[in-house]
Amino acid sequence: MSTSFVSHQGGRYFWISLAFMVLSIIIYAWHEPVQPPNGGTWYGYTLGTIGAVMILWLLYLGKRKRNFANGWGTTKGWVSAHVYLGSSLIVIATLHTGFQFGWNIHTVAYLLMCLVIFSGFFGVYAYMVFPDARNKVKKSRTRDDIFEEIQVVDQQLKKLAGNLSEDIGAIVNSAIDRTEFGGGFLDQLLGRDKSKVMIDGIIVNNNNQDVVIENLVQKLTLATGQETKVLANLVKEYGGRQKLLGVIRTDIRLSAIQEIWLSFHVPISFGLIAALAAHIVSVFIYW
Amino acid sequence: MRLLIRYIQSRDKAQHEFDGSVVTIGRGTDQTIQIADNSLPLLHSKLSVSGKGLTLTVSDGQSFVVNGQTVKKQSLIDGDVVEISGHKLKILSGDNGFDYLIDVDLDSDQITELKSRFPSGLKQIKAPRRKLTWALFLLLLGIGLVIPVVGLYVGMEKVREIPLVPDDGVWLTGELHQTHAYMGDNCTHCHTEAFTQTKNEDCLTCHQSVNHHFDVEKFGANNQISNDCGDCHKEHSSTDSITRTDQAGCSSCHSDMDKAGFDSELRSATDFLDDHPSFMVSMHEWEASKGWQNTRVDLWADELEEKSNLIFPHDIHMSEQGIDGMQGVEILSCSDCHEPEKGGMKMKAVTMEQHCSDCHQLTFDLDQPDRVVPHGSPPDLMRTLREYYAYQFLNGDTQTDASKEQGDIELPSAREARRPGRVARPKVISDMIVNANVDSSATLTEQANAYIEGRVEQAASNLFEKQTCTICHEISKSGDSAVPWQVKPVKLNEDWMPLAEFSHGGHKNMQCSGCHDAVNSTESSEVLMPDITSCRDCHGGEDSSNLLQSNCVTCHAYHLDDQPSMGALIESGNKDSIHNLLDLDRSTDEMVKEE
Repeated sequence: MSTSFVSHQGGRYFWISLAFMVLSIIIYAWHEPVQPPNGGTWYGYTLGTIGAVMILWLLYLGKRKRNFANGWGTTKGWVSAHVYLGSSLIVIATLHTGFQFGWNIHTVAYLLMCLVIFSGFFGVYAYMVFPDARNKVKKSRTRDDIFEEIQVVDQQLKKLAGNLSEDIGAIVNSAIDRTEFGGGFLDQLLGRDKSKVMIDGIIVNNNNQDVVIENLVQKLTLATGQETKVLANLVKEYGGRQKLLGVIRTDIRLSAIQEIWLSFHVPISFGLIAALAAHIVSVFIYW
Repeated sequence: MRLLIRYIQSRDKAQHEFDGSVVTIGRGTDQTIQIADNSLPLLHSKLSVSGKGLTLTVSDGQSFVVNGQTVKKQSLIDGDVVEISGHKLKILSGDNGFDYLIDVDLDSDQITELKSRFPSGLKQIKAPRRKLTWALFLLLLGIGLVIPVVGLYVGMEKVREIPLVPDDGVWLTGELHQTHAYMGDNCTHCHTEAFTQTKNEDCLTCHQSVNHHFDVEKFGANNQISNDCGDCHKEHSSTDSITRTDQAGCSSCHSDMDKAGFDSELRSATDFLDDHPSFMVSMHEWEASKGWQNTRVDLWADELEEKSNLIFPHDIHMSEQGIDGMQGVEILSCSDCHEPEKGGMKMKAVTMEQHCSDCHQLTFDLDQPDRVVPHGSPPDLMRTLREYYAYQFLNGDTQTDASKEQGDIELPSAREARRPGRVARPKVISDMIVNANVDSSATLTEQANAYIEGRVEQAASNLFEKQTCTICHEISKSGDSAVPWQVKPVKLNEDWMPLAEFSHGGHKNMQCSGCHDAVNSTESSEVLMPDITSCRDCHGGEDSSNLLQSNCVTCHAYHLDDQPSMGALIESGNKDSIHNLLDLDRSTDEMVKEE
């Protein structure tokens, strides 16, 4: 599923878009306006109209393709059309400009359109690459599976810690309770680990659970008798917990990157609509 | 204070002891009683000893429920049940050395699973995506659309006065021509009416002096090609030129003027290389009764003959062997006489004074080589001669008296040489008077007249008929005794092709002889203008691939110098012209009728 919209129906929309782009370029090269090529020639108006209608239609497609199994056509088909026809807008709109750019609302509309399209390209890339990558990291488990595994480990850890001195128990409990993942926008995107642990009444950073493991290992070196065995077991279990948390964090980071483009794609699309409206209306106010 | 804290549900740690003065309660793992509920703060409240009882005090903004009542601070006694966000703490009196027993009954529904404790997907964050969307949408709509739309109703001048409102450059669709660039901050300079293309009045407000394309009196202004300035001038695309140069614009009429509805003598043309008539030239001819007459003649016509009335053989002047000049033999080049005007279009006029007189000096007295007659007017010439000889007579008389005592004074002489067979020229005035055969018995006036007229006639006939004027001019007798000769008027053609603009400056890297065969021209009646084939050596049509691409406006102007200005048509109140010229929908008469 992750790549299939790319080659949906033998890449039907790829070929349609390609033909559309090539045709536009050929006509552009062929047409000889009496003025330098720009949006105001007959071809400029034609491309502009096509482009504007396409933008509105793609915006609708953007919404439509999220309504799974609703109405005619398949979601896969809609995504494919959205991606390929959207890409062809780069050519259509650039030819519409006649390569005339400036510090004005018209170029703003063009740039916003480019940003929407390029963020969309990233989205395509993300959907093609990240689901697989995440699946590999998680070894085909779901994130919930891993959380459950962690919870089992946590109980095991608490049980083991109960057999040890109170300060070790406090450290383990504190590390478990103060384990963090995800969080805010950047925390997710950068895979930041804000986990902490209280050791001797002081709360310290416990990035990647390193501090607590280090502390336990230290205590292991000083341990004697039965305590050594339990503590060694505790360290081993905590190492497993550390790994599982690492997987969770990587998965959160990859999934954030996978979805980050939408945070640009959608708002800029609406900015584009506003700029497009301003572009079209102002051009005719000052005809 | 010693407490025993018991956890009702806990599987791994059922209870723990506490010995201290303050029990802390909250989500934090460092709290005495930890409640892992995300809805609680790290430190929710503190339980402290007060007298015999316990007092529970919450952190700012928190509260708890005791026996059904929501409070922020409460003394607790045995049997009280404290509820914190659904979790129950039951206070019991202690035994076995414990002051109190606290049963902690956590609401398992509220205890957060690890996976739900923190947002782990972008969708769980209250990202400002929606706000960002609206902000971007409204900002762009506000700047880009609302400002000009409001301007439509209240006037952009007022809108522009509002602080932070950008100038109209925001809506500029493309660069303006460099002469218009200063107006780029104010669209309404040219776009005076919304949703209407720029009108001719808008252009003519400044460009009043732009001339019309054709004779509006003959053809009227009611035709398609000159109705809209915008037909040919497209702004917002280039800083260099906003004028269309394609030949299709011209050939829409000029391919067939009759078909286009113009009774014009102009021949058809659509492409310089493939479809352009051969050149015609404008020729002058002097008619005594009418003055100079202008005619258009085909360059290849038999009757082609320049009638400038000037005698000038180019071949002699441009001989490779050179020509006798003041400094000996001189080899002349075209540029010795023909210089481009400033701006490089036409050539400066060739004049006798500037270009000929160095060699062709109008001397008349060999003994006075620095004395010349004026050029251009026979009466002036005659008057100069008379004055000269009168002065000589007068001066010579006085000198004669003196010379009687001192001996004759020698007149200055340019040269002693004389042609073989001729007698030596008299050198003293008395001799000259004797030579003039003046009757010595006549009065002094009669003597003077006889002397002067004799000398003038001699000098003038020499000038007009033998040596000087006749070299270049056609001379005839006038019958007037005061000015007995007349010179046929001369006019050198300075505008052979008045409808074409040829830049000599632009062709300065070419040899003159490439177009003008002057070296082989023996007569000034020969027209040395090149025909179209000469131009076509280098210039092709609009689409030529191996020749210079040349279109109509390469050589022809649209706005013609000899036509009235478009602005003047408005000012003159020429109703039909204005209405047609400015493309107004209805004439005033029609409006009156409708009313």
